Amino acid sequence: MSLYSIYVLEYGYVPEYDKSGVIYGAHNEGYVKLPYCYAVIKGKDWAAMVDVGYNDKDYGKYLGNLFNVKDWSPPKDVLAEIGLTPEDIKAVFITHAHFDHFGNVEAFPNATFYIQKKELQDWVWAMSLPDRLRWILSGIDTGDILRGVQLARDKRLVVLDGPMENVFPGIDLKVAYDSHTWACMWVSVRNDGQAPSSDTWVLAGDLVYQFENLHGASKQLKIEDLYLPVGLATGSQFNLIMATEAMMKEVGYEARRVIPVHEARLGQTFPSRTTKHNLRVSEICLADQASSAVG
Amino acid sequence: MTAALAIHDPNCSTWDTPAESGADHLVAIGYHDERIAAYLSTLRPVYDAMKRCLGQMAGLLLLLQTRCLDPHRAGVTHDATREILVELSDRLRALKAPEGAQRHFRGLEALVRQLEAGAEQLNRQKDLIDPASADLDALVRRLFAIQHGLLAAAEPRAGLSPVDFTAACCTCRPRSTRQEN
Repeated sequence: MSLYSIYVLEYGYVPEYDKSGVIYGAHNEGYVKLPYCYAVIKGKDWAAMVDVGYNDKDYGKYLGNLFNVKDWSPPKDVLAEIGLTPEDIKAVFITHAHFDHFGNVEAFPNATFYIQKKELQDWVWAMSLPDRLRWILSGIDTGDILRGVQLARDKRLVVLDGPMENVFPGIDLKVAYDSHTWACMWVSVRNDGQAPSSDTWVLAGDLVYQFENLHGASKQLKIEDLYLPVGLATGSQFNLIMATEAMMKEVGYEARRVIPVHEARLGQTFPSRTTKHNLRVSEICLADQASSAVG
Repeated sequence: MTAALAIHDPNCSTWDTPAESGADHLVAIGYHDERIAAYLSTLRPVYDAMKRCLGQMAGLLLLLQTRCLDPHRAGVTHDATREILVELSDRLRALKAPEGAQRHFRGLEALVRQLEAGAEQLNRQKDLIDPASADLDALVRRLFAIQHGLLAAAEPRAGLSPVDFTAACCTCRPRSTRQEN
């Protein structure tokens, strides 16, 4: 039995991103393509997303240009590729508050958003720090926090204090504290609905960017296969590594079940196609009786 | 130096960090009027402080609305916001805007007054708990207006940016930006 179909939908990409930004320690090793994606969990009469990307209007446009993001497309067009509209999305799990994950909540008028309390509390605290510590605030758009106020007023923001099992049947929210950000979530989908499950998929958020974070090779250490943390940690690389171990343990160390959304090679690993907007749709798994969106 | 070179790309602007927001740097990247460059350079930390005040106020409201606001933390954060506001207000008062930047400067002065008024409103938290309260509505409208004002006053090349990546190095900063510098 498979409860859900899972997709990773590209909404834009950076053609050349420093490899050292993706993999800690990969200095002077050139550039990699960095897709910007969100994940969709689609049930029979229900759909949820992991993160919402950013909005390419107002300041989002500037940020996109700054990061050299190409072919940005709105959720309306991206979701249409799998037969959904933004209005169909009922829940969104915000893994963390960076602009490219929390920056487009207005596009989903019927969704309830889930985020960690510590993620919000600590960003607010960080804003009280002196100017010389402002690096800590990299990637945070105060406009997103403001839009969060509006969500809260509308009772569409659920603030969690720690992990939560079965937020929806078979879907668990887990937390890696002081890692990529203060309280970065990942999403476990037990697609057989069982606990323990033999059919778990982990949607890693930014705790894992690409396959090398799961199966890396260190030139410096001369080790061929090890976890390598992502290049950006507000917290610590130690916590990123321990989160990777926790995710891998959940999937019985079957690395292909940990899904890194910034990984362009998902297109070679899972059934995928490229849309007319030059963006990739990857189908991670299919629910019972669901039709393929990429076949 | 040798060890550090092994870490950062040789073209990484991290090597220039102390000068990057300075007036000389702004002249070098195309702000030909030195008085404007000096104005923007002095203004950068003030603009950042305004942004952080706005973020703190919005964050406090968000935590209040979601019943996650710890009273002690609220007090500390609110005090910090007020301190930053006093400091940035003093710094802005001490700043002499050159001709050609007067309108920009007056806009920022108006935004500081809006921030001060917002901080006063935020003092009355019990009036802001009810999601339907008129006080909350007024404060949220004010904060969005400040946000729009900050967007209008942004000058990202000079570091006046609603979302700051200028302090990021080659490990987290886009290639295109580094090439500009």
